[in-house]
Parts: sequence; structure tokens; C-alpha cells
Amino acid sequence: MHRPMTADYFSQHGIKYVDYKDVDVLKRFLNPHGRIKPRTQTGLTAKHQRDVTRAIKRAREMGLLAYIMK
Amino acid sequence: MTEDSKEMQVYELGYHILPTVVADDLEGEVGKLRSAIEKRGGSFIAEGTPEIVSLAYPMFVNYGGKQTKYERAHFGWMKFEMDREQAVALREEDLSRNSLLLRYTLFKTTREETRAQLQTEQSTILREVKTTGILEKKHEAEEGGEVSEEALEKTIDELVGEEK
Repeated sequence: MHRPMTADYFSQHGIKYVDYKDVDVLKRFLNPHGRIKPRTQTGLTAKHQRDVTRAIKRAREMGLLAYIMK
Repeated sequence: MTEDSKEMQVYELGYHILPTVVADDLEGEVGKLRSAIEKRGGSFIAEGTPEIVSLAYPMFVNYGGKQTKYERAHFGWMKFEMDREQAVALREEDLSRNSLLLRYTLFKTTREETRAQLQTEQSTILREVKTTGILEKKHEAEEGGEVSEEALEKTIDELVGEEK
């Protein structure tokens, strides 16, 4: 069973925008297979979850993140 | 919509230039992108110089029926302000026809810096620990007991005397 993150990562670190070029940040929100984690696991606000999803999809399209890992 | 009421929008262009372009020619290729934006009335806000990156998955480009595989590319980005119609024209007439661009993305963004600047200094300090002198005082008291040799001899004499 997955334990959800306690607080919103972006609010905690004072990050205002989610950028597709910040691959290391985005990797936190992917599971080992490269799929986007649900909000129950990320602990993000609804807005930040949407922003992360959009950024991950942009990064995938640009070849900065893989569509499938393993 | 009249020409006076044109709405300027901030865009970001992210691009991969083919790895076959050598470092000396790279500046020229980026200059072509810049001039295409300026030609359409774009004003630059920020720019990330291209650097070679390993792609997360191989990209294939079809040249005359033959597929070429690329696993690395020069990745760069630029942020600029431009009219919406001109941005569409930039994508359809300039970017999509540029054969040296392996892949690109053009999307609306904000004027502010969007890269994450992590506050590492705060995160390294987990919690402050307060120390007290209680343990040291106890240790000093023990040391004081060891030093008094006269008292030790006295107690030995007393014990010997009791045995006699």
C-alpha cells in the first residue's frame, strides 16, 4: 500500500510554476514504470497536479522524460 | 479584431537541433530562429543556450524513405512575446519547415521565471538540538571523588584496623 505524501511539494518549497525542463522535480511524481502518480499519492493540490501532468506530458514529447520506463 | 487591438502573448519555444550540427554552426542555427521571431514582431524575454542532451527515448526522422535514429540532440529554449496570429504563422511557416529541428514545442507561458529554484539551505537543517550541562556536572563530581587519595588511605587503614 502506498503512503501519500504529507504536504504539497510545490507549496513546501516555494515553487510557483511547474516547468517541463525541471526533469528532476517531475520525476518525483512518476512511478517506477514512468506513469504519473495519482493525487492520492502525490499529495498535491488539484491545480498543482494538473500543472505537473501538463509539464510531464510536455517533457515526454520533447524526449526529456520517457513514456515508459523498465 | 483591428490591428491596434492585437493581443500580445508570452510564448516559449523549446527545440532540439540535430546532433549532426557541429558546435560552430550551432550559433548560426539559433540565430536563424531568433531572426524568424524578430521578423514577426517578437520581443525576447529569456533564453536558454542549446546544450547537448541524451534523449529519454530514440527519435526517428524519415529522410526520403530512410529512417535515421537520433539518441542525442542540442536542446535549447527561448521565451518571447508575440501576437497570436504571428505565433501561428511562426510555427507553420518557419519551425515546421526547418529541417535541422529534430523536434520543437511552442506554447503559451508567463513572463516570470518558471524554473524551480529549490531552497536547499532550509531543507538541510532538519531541527535544532539544545544541549544541557547536566551530564558534565555529574562527571565532575565523579572526578572529585577519585582525586582525594588521603580519604582513600584513611578508609584502607580503617578496614585493616577492623581486621586486626
